[in-house]
Amino acid sequence: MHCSPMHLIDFYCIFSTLIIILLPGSDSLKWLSLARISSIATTSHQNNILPEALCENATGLVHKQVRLCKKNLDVMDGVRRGARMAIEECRYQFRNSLWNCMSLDAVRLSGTRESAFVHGISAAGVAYAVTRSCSLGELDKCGCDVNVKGRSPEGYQWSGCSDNIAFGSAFSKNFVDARERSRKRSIKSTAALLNIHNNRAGRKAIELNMKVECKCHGVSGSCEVRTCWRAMPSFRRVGDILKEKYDGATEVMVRKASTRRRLEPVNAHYKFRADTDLVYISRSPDFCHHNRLTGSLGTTGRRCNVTSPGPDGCDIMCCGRGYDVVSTTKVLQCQCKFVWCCEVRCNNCTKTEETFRCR
Amino acid sequence: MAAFIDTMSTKKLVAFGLLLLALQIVFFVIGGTIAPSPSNVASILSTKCIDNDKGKIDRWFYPRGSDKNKTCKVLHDLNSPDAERYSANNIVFAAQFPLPRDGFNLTMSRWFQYSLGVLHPEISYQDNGEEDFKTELEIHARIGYRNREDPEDAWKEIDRSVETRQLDCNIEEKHQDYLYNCSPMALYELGGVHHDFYLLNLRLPVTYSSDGTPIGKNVNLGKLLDLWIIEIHQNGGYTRVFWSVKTVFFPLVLAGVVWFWHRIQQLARPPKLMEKMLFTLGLGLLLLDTPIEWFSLGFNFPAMLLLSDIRQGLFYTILFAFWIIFAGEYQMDDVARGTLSTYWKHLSAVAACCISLFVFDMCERGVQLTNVFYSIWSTTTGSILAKGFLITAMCCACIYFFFLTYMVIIAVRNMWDKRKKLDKFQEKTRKRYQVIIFRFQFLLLMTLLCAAFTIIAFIIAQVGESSIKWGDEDRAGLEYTSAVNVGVFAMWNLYVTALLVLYSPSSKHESLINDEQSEDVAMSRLDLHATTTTSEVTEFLQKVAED
Repeated sequence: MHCSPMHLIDFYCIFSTLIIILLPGSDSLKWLSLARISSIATTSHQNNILPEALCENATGLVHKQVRLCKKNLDVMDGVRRGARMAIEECRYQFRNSLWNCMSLDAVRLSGTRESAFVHGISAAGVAYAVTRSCSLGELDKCGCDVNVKGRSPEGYQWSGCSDNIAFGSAFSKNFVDARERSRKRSIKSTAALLNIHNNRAGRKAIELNMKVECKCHGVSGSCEVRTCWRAMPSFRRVGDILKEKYDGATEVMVRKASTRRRLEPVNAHYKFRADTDLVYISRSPDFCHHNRLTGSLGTTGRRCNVTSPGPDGCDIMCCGRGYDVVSTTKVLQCQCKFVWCCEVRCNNCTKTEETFRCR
Repeated sequence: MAAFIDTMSTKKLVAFGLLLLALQIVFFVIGGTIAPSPSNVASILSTKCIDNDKGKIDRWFYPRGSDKNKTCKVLHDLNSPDAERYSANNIVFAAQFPLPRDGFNLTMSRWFQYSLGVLHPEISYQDNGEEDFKTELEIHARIGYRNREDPEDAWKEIDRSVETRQLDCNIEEKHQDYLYNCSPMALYELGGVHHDFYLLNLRLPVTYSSDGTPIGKNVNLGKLLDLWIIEIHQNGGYTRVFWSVKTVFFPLVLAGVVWFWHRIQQLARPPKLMEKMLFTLGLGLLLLDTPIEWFSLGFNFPAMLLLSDIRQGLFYTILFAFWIIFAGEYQMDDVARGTLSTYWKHLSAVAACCISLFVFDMCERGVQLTNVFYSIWSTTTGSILAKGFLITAMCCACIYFFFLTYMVIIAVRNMWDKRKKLDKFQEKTRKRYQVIIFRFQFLLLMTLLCAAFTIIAFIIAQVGESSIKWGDEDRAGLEYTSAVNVGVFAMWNLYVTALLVLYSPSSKHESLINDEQSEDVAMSRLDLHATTTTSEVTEFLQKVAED
């Protein structure tokens, strides 16, 4: 299957590829394999199995996640969608990097920056998708609010319900953090501490970037009464924010403070924003060469950009091994314009393209 | 003419003031602790249903039906290859509210009073797209309702309409797949929430020319992915608290007004302008306080919102007119006033302001009674007209405040002058002036305090509301906006009640009442006795000669 990553229309090409290749390596990310199930409801329908059984058969779910899955079957479709979105976004964000998110095996050695990003984006993906499901009215049990009196129909009458993101975020926390929190050790492992932190950073990337909009509706539409609400950013923006956090991730170590273990930056001079920064504990492996042990696929065969000074430039991408040039003339679609709702109008451009691939 | 305020001892006056202050604090606390925030928002993501008939068959699309294939065949993603089979006319955006929560099939409530919808499109930026774009959106909208006991498909239409809205979008960072920031568009406004479930069906159709190219306003929409509908309604708890406050005040103000009128009836002379004005102010407040809203729990009465606006507008009109007349009557110059016609300049500013606001409101909320999707802002001419009304109102308000400040400044200056000369007056005159000055200063101080409190409280509430951030909400604490709303409402009630009590004629001092007839004549001329400067002396002598 050939896919050109930059091309819009090939979106689904990438998508189908990723579903084939995707095999999460890291234990704590195994639940991401849910992304491969087409739909929990339809799968169970087609195969005549109870949806509950599907929760048990799904690979990579820990006990608590299975329980949550059984209890919130309708939410699981959101989780599944969230997992897909997260993986897609990861591939998009790292399309020009040595590690291109094609194999999550790379995060087998947990504690790396890459692992931090994947944790962050997947927690964000679940929060995002569940919030959307809730807003669509697909979830019967979408929470009203924990703090307000709005737990019952009378409560809803009295003071309404909170923003849907509250539920999405809380569910993401419950579900994604389940593995880390399920361990029955009083002191959490270093990896668990790290993952919980990065998951939260991912959710915060949505929560802190909600856009506030207001509407005046007082007497004669004056601003005597004004109501504000928050709108979610696009998931692409969430991905960009987390990519920035990845670039500026903080290296931390675990310090024991009385009974609790805490994460602290290795370099004490660094400012450390506890909630929102991605953190890592071990250096990333070398992604240049194929290495089964670290899960690196290597960059052989990757496309590179001969003029770019960045990580997608052939010098860096090919790790000094050099590259092959293939010249092709293609008819491409260009200057595409979307016509509401579902039509794309493009011009055909003939383009002679030189593709550079790493040796 | 002696008013209660003159005959009251300082002790009693302070006690009265403290009582009002205590009541004020009580209402503020009630608003802040018992009442929830005034309104609640639900962000609803509309479901994209596929209509194979392209709208030729009239039917409802509802996303939460038992058989989704029949009621709404869902298209999950407009960006997917599946979507390419469909055209714009196949897509119906359906939103049913309220959303289900915590396993309950929630219903709307009559306590909500109003419900309004805002349209928020999600349009993603594509390479080489424009940085900002403005276009008109053509919406074929339909809203219906259903009650709990009705069968699932028994949606009844409230309104349908073809609407245009101005879509105004821009983007800060031109990144592929980022969302445009589009200004929210008002979609509908219901003046009463009488039913249990509501359903919106929206279409954004295009027409096709003979060669198959789509034409129409909606062609320029770009990559529209989703439509959010932001549903806003008043919180039931807030309605209850606010109505209770109103219901408590109604008999109180009624008693005040009746008592005041009774006092005036006992006077030997016909009531003066100030007294008539005060009485009208009382009536205006009484009208505002009449808790007719309770009827909306039993009957469907969509005009309630408009009626509330009108009642509130009427009260403010009378209040503004009252201030002008009060300032005028206490000018302490020798211009003969005492009739409404002397204030025609000032009052016409008030009237113009209120009439233009009234016309605007009728054009917006009045028309919404016949078409809930109507908005005066949606068309260019309409929005020019609306702006015209609002600017007229604003200008008139400015003129009014200019007049008022001018009159207050003159009055204060005159009083300042008089006060310096007080010693030179005869005993009776001095007392008379002291009374007038005190009455004026008392009301001025009270008014300024109330106005300042209102303005500051609202500004803080506005700033607080727009800066909401994640995690900042302290739900358990004081609900500031409600506290302000209930507090300010209670404050103006107490203000008028206090005026009715304090400025009503007192029968305590018979001697003063007997003086009534001569007093009015004396009032404008007495100050002439106090002339000290030579010019004034000559003026006085001239006057005497004329007499």
